[in-house]
Amino acid sequence: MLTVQAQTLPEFRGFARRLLAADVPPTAVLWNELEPCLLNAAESFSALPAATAAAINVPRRLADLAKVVACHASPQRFALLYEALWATVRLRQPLLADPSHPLTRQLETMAKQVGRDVHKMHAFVRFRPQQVGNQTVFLAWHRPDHRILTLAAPFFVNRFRHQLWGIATPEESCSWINPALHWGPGLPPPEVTPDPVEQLWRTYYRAIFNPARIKVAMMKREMPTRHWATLPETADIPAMLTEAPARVATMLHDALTSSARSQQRAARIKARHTFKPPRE
Amino acid sequence: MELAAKLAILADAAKYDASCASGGGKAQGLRTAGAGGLGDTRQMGICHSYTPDGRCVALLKILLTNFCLFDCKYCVNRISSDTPRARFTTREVVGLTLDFYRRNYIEGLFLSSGIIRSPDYTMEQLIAVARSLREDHQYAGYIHLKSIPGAADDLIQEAGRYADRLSINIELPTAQDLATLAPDKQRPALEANMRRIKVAIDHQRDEAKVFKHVPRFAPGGQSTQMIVGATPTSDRTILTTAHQLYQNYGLRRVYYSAFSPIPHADSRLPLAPPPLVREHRLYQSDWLLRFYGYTVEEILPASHPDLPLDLDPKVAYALRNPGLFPLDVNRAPRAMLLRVPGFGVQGVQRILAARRHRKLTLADLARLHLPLARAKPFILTADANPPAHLLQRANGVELVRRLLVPPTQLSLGL
Repeated sequence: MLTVQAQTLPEFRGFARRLLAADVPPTAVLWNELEPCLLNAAESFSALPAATAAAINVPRRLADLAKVVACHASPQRFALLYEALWATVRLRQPLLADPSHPLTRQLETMAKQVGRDVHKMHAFVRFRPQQVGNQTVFLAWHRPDHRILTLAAPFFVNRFRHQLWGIATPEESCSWINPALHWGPGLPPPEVTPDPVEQLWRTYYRAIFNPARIKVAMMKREMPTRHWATLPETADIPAMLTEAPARVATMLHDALTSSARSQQRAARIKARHTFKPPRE
Repeated sequence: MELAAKLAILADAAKYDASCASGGGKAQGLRTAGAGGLGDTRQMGICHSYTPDGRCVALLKILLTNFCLFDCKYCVNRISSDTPRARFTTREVVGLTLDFYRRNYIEGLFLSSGIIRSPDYTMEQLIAVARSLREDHQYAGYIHLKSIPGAADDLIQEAGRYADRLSINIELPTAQDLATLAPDKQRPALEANMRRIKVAIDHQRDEAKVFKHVPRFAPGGQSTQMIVGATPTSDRTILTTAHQLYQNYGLRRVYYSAFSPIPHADSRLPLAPPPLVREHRLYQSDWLLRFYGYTVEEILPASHPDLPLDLDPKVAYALRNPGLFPLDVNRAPRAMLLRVPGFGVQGVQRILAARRHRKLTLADLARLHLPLARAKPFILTADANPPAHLLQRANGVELVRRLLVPPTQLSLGL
């Protein structure tokens, strides 16, 4: 039994090449076991021959899937990928063409979870401007479920190419100084600095809410509470919900017709404006 | 008035507009910022936040002003209401949009307005904001502009050059409803705007086939909104209207907005909570029309002019047509599989791919993430599936209905 420690896709690729070259089946490899010493038959990986020069042809679809699955937080990710690689390259099974195959299903589910996490990062990163020297830098801290900053960063490069920005997560961080991304280690959540625009954003969030329709479960499904800590507007949700019944009650109960004053004003203005939208 | 106070009033006034799409549509319509500019538009929009009403926040959705000369009974901003009024300057809207965008709060701007002075004047004010964003700030994010009924044609043309999407709200499903509740709006004028926008979009598309550089025109297409529940109009009429709008003007979306009891509502309107379930059923039916190949007649035959609230429209259709089922998932064509309750477009795609490799059983379908509880009475699989035989029994339709809708689930007070 071989044990292999891989954290990133390039590391996985390197190991997988050598394993394939040495004809090691997936059942004979343990990926990312935390306590390899417990295994009495742990062999030394270095005993394997180096990868052969011959290129291994990996179907495009599997290569694309691997890029995404490699970012998944599951410790099994590389074991599953090697299994898929073995089946596709060595056994020549058209694994990915069959969506009901359990391994395909599992990999695609994982890819979907990562994809959703990337999407949520695009949505939930909240920048705060900070003065550094005479320049404004937009900084954000976000806690993704998976290790996805490399997948998510290009979106921000494309969108905010001409401003300075940085995004930190617990595991990795990056900053954009046109024309390049600079990568760094993970960081803890920063001290919050006040931003007047953030107050306006919260004002907007409270105003755009329609208290006559309450669908909290729906909101939480799309905006999971684990992200709320970094979404400033969510601080207002309890108050919005508390006020909602009263606001609806006013809407329903008062059921006000226009006051005499408003009606007079309306008549006055209407008399001044005689236009009608033209008919066709 | 302070900016925050204006924002509170003019966002509150815009919240009845359900439109939230923020994607630019086809690739050739996507924008990226040039040197010194800001932002981009993507094919698919992003929902940056959600409010407790379950709706997404993708755009800064505001009115330029909520002063309005019109007296539409369902609208909080009608001339005769007591609502507080405010008006943004062009600079204020531009500033808010850029400030929010830079912080990644939004995908862009949704700008509408009450009608002030004249349709042309109002349209010019909206265009001024979009022009400033695009030309003064090289802003390439999303912009949705309302087109004002009765605005001059060259203004519509200009709006389309700056905006990703244009819209005009049809408001109510029939001309009669409109005459009753919105006496200042006329259906022909609303449809005239839709037609002009469609013609301009078609024209742009044709030119783009011949010339390399053609100015954009509303690459995200046009949409509209209908208020549901403010008049007694049937779902059949509503869906027929929507279908005609899709057909005649190539709309990307028709939004249905359950009538919200608005503050200062006119006494002529019914006062009840918004019919959210009905709104949901209409959206489901809308999807069946656009992506599943159903006709209005199939979803809402004259004998059933309103959608049942306790059943989704696909189940209702299946129970009205029990002779079509059960379908063999290993043999039925795509068009028929799409009619199985619970099977979506992607689910059917996965079935078609998977059945080339094996005879599908219930366990296979479960692995494909298809909702079996709803589908079981309507399908045959390679293994035994007892509920599939229910429909053939004498009282089969009633049995299946009871299986799918346990009596306790009826809570129509929503």
